[in-house]
Amino acid sequence: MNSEKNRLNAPNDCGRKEDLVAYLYDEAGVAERASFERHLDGCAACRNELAAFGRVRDELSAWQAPFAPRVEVALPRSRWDVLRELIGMFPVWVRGAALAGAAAAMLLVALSIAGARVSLKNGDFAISFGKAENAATGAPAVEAEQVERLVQNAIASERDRIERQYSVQLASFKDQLSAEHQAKLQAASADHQEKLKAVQAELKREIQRANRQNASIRSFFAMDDSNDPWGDVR
Amino acid sequence: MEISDDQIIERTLAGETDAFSLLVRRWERPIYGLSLRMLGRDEDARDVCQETFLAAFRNLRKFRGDAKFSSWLYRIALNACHSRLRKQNGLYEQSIDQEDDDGRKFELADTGAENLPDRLHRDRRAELVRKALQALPPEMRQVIVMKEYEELTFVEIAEVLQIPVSTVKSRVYTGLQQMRARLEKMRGAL
Repeated sequence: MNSEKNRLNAPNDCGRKEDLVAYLYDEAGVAERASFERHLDGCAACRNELAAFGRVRDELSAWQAPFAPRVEVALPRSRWDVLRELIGMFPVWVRGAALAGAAAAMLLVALSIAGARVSLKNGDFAISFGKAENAATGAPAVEAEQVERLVQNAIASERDRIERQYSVQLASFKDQLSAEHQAKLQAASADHQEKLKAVQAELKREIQRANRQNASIRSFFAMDDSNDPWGDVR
Repeated sequence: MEISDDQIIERTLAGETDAFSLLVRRWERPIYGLSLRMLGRDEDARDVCQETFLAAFRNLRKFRGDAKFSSWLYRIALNACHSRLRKQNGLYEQSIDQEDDDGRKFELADTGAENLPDRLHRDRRAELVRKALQALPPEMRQVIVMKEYEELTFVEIAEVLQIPVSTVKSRVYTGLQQMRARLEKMRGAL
């Protein structure tokens, strides 16, 4: 019995190991396959090894992984994404007012830096830069409350403009949201397809396993003697 | 028609970050399976899965498209597995004689309505396989896992590992030989 076991486990030195694994996994070309089958007829070591590897593959298939858990990957986000989300938390009118205020403040700062003067001449509003006009020209200095009114008007006008702009953006965001919803539906559908494929692959493996077992049994009975290749270790 | 990996990558690189989740959903199962068989532990496999997809996202611009995205992803996952195995050090090549007394959680498939004796028998077989597989040197283990469980072709495995196809076949052969010897020895010890 031991001598039989030793013979079955003896190293295979026939130099066709790569052909053997290609044949085992059904990845040999037509010519390669035919050539190896001819070799198998005369090589007990390869026949024995092929049958043994078939049994190892059966054993390996006993370890089935559980269904993969959902992977939640926290993808890093750009500063722009974070800022957009932060801004999105406020109502549209607050965002508009804040932006209008900021724009007006920037306008005033810019005018101040440029040395601008605001004046009313013949009922018209005017801004001038550079040196002050000669008093003799008769341009009256603008009153503080008039400047305030002008700035408030400018703010109101800017706020209206920004609100209109945000209405358009809001519509755009709605469209984007709808598109994302569609993408998620697509992903869920793809996921179901993957699971279906997995079940089909499992079925295929079962069929292949059954075929291999069948081949092992045939190969076993094709050997010179009928001893159990597992010998006394089973 | 299903959107291709390359199209999803293009969309992600164009700023549509959410598109990447399609790739995660598509590849999470194979990557988890590979990691579980390489490391033998569910929680390690989950961690490697997350690391893999995060690394892929961060390095997506480096993916040149001259290989398949899946090959690139498998390579990242295997690197993460090897890195984890190196950290585990003493467990890197676990002896098959060692009892599983190190508290490592062993994940099995849910076999549903299978009756108890059948299930126990199947679980026992699966445990033997896991032990025998974990005892293989990692370079053998990875080719056996990719071939047997991920059903990659020899050419695909060669692409993932960037080694010749003949080397892949040779490693699969040696891996199966070692698995055969270990399984026989473990059966003999029962």
